[in-house]
Amino acid sequence: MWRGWNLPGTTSLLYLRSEPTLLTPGATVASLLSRLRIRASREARIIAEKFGYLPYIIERYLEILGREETLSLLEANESPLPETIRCNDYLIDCKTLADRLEEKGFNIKPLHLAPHGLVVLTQPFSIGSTLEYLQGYYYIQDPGSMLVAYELDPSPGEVILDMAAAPGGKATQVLQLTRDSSHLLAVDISRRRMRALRSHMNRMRFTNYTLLRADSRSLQFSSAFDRVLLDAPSSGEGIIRKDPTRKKSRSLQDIISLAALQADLLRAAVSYVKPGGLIVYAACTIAPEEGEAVVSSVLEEFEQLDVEPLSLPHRGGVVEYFNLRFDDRVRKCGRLLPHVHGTEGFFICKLRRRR
Amino acid sequence: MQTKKKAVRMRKPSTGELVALRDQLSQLKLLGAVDLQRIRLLEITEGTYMDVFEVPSTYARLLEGRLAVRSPYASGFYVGVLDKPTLRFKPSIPLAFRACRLCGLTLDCHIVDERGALIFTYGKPVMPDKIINIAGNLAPVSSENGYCLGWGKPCRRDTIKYLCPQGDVGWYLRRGG
Repeated sequence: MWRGWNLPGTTSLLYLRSEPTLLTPGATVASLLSRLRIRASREARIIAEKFGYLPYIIERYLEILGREETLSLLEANESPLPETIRCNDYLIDCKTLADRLEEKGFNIKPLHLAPHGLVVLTQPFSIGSTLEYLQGYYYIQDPGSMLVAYELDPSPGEVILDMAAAPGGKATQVLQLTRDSSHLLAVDISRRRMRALRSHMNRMRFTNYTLLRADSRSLQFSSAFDRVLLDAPSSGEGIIRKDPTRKKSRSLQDIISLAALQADLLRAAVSYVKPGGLIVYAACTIAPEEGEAVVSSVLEEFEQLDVEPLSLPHRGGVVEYFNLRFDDRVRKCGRLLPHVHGTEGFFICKLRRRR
Repeated sequence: MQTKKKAVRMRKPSTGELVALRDQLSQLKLLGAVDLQRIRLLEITEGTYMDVFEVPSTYARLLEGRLAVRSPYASGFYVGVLDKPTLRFKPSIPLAFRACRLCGLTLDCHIVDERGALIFTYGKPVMPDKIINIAGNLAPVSSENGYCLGWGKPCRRDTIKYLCPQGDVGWYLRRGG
């Protein structure tokens, strides 16, 4: 069945594969995605039934990964994500922390992807209830999420905006990476999650921050920040290893609605960052609708943006997607894949605003 | 009937508020631990207390200046709570961490053994058999291996003197999220 929706969003640089014409400026990401044609093949439906997914999700995996890799991804999604923590080396040396947790009966090994990451292989009791946790010595954080903050690469003295900051994994990591000497403005709309963010800031003993409860799309900041981090609200399709309900919880229409919100947030990010400044856009998902389509649409709207290569291990962005073609520059964006990188699924892209 | 909308604002303290805060920090022997020049009060209209923050040094230039953020949710080092009508100060857990660095130097702190530390972080009183040192009044509480646990004060029942929690790091698990 062909499906399509028209929703508000942003302008877009996308082409139809069979008709390689640039869409007119002013077309929204959602109206563009409404031209997306995903028809679940018989193969996709069979695989979807076997692994318990919605068929369109499998058809998408077959499109961007091929059959063999799709099966590898689905198998990887069946094994739970190992518990990982980020050592707060602002307060404690990571080796010392690992030793102390080992003394308490935890089995710990370094996480090779992330310099401050530790994998908790076995735990005699919850890793979130140790005295070391209460001292602020670590944050319980998934590996892909850790890698996003490294890509932001914050420096001391910079003014940094985190647009969807709560509960605070990346926000605390930004301050950790700058030894609490950048100024972080952390914004989130949720009162409950903001409370958690404040608690984590206090627990991990960071002080160079301001928290603001607001809608990040409507802040009155113009060209104010050296770096902007946007880990956008997403379908969460990347965390199926932690939450298998995501295999069936979102329709394509839901994803397209989210893409419109994500594009709005990214457009706002462009207006907040200084000329020469960096935006890191991330979403905990594998879906190109929430990744390449969003970035591509914003690249079309803002001429002064460049895509920068990622430094972390990743799979490059897709340009051709069913009957759509994205901006070529999204090749430099990247994807973390559970079966390749051992992480949750993540889309990450670095955008630089030209001077 | 028209209801008043609650408003949040971060503001500089009045002279009276600053004096009250200074005096109570002085009683805790923590006057040097907080930069009073950078104190701001986060106030909700019609609320009964104010959150006390030592805002970052960049705050005045950035947040009050260029970015004009008038009503943040929090900013900087959380010092504690100032009761609105009485101006009585209650120190925060982050302030306990600053204070713990002074234990054995300028501060007499409560010290408990490992078992006592666990009990304390559940927000429970610690009995004498698990106490290594008990200070005279409200003071930071530390474990024997140097972990800061919060604030405590001596309590007495009959002839038994024990340690009562007045804010412990277990709060981060119980309420913090």
